[in-house]
Amino acid sequence: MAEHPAGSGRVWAGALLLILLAGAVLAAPWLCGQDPLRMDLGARLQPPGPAHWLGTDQLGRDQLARLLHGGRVSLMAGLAASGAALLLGLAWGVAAGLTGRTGDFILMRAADVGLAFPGLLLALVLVGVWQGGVWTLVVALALTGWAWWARLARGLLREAQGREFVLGGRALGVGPWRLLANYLLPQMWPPLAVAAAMKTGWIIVALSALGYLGLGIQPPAPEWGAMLQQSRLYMSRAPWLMLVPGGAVFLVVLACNLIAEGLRRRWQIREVRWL
Amino acid sequence: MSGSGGILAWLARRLAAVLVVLWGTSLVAFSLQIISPGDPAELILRTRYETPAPEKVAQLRQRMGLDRPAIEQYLAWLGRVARLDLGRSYRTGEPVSREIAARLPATLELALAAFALVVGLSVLLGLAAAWRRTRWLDRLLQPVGLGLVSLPSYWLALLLIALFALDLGWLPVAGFGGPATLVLPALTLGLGVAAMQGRVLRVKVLEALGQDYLRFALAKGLGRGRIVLRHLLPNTLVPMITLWGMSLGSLLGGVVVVETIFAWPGLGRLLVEALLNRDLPLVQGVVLLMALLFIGSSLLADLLQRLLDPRLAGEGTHG
Repeated sequence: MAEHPAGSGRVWAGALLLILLAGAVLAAPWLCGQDPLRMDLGARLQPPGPAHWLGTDQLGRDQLARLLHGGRVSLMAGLAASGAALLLGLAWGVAAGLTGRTGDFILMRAADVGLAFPGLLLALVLVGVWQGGVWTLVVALALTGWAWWARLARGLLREAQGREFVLGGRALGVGPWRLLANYLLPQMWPPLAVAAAMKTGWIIVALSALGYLGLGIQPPAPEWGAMLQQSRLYMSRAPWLMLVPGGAVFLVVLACNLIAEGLRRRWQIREVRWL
Repeated sequence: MSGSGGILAWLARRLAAVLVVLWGTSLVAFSLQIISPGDPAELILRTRYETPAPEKVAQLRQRMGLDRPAIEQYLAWLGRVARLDLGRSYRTGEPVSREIAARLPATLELALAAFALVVGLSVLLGLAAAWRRTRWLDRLLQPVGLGLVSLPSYWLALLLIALFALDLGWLPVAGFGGPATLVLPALTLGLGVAAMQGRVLRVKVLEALGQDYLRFALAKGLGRGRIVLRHLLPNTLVPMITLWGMSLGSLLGGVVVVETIFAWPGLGRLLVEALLNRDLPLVQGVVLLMALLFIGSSLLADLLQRLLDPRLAGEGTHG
């Protein structure tokens, strides 16, 4: 084990878990031939068995099919929202770090406004007011997440700008764009990668939390949070309805956190602060 | 540089920044009205089960000032909000401030209970790392901590309900009133945050343990308990204050989900109900209040940290 850099075990474990989950979700039509929307009232609340590997719900729908099809939306929307928030925030933070004092002040106060709403409050309100489909969710979550990235990117940029070889590059007459691309950004990637893994997990949780609250993807479309919410009434009679979708969210987030934690150890980055 | 003059200047700068941010949050809250599809006047009539006849709608629009330009509407709204008049709920017709005041104590009770859990548990988890004799405990707590951080709160809530309420029957499934009903919601809200803070504190403790002043204290032959109390805790806990202040904010954000699951009559549930009913003034009021509480708690934590940490006294604003 000694020849492996610290943390690589976690990274591999997390990546493997994520690949397995994503693979299962993408292969949903082949893995499980059942229709996630087809009701069979004669087979309500069936426990896991050969006919339905993960049992059926209160309307007799196959839970494995619902889990896999729901996962497609959760994972894809989560990745899209996470990526959009990262790109927007990164551009914002870099712009703040590169413009003068006034521009920096204005941009960062705007980011502070974005950070003034705790947790998923902003996403919740935007989704609740807009009441749209998946893309509304993606946009709302990206608008909730970008400010955190802006602040992180700006802090990392400041740190990079203070390094001696960056000052040296500037003294040599390297232009601002080349300085950014070749000197500054490469130093920012490692902490950004750690944060990206962590935040993607957070966004997938937020996505299904909105579903649980009845403000996310609307039934009858399968969604992990909404499935959990409906399982509430059948908790004693059909505990698998509660264990399966919740476990799926947990595993996705665990995989993201394993990757983040492993990368953090490997590159010896200090704990990224606050969620 | 240091001394009360420094801190007052710092506080004045921070308060100015806070005012700018508060103004920004008011813009966001107001713009909910703009981005919301549909006509509020029509919406009000519908929620009161009246038929939205065109002349009635037009009348109401005029009375609410909806026919004026957005900027005029915003200024009028801001003026009312500044006087703590948040308007009336579309649904009940009650003043929003009264609806919020009725729900605020339950949320504060829940958030403070969870906050106490976060502070207490994170210190315990952090200190477990400091004792060599409990290294096995540290080894065990590391994966447990990662697991807790990864648990979505709504699933944790259902698992806790299944175990402690349905299986063992020790605690009520949901509801409000008395300490027994507080346990599960506070645990749900606080456990994940506590695990995360514990991990941060653990790193700080391990870093501090490698530093000269602690090695020197050990070499001097001071007892472990004394070293922890006099040297380790002050140096590791003071930097945690900002983080705790911010965690109070994330607890406020988490309240929305937890209150819904446990039927806890607080602000979070009020917000979800308001959203589902499309009750905009109520939504705006809760959002503004939550942002205010969040900003206030971080400011308070920053101030406290500055007062307790002499190293920060002379510095300018950070972050």
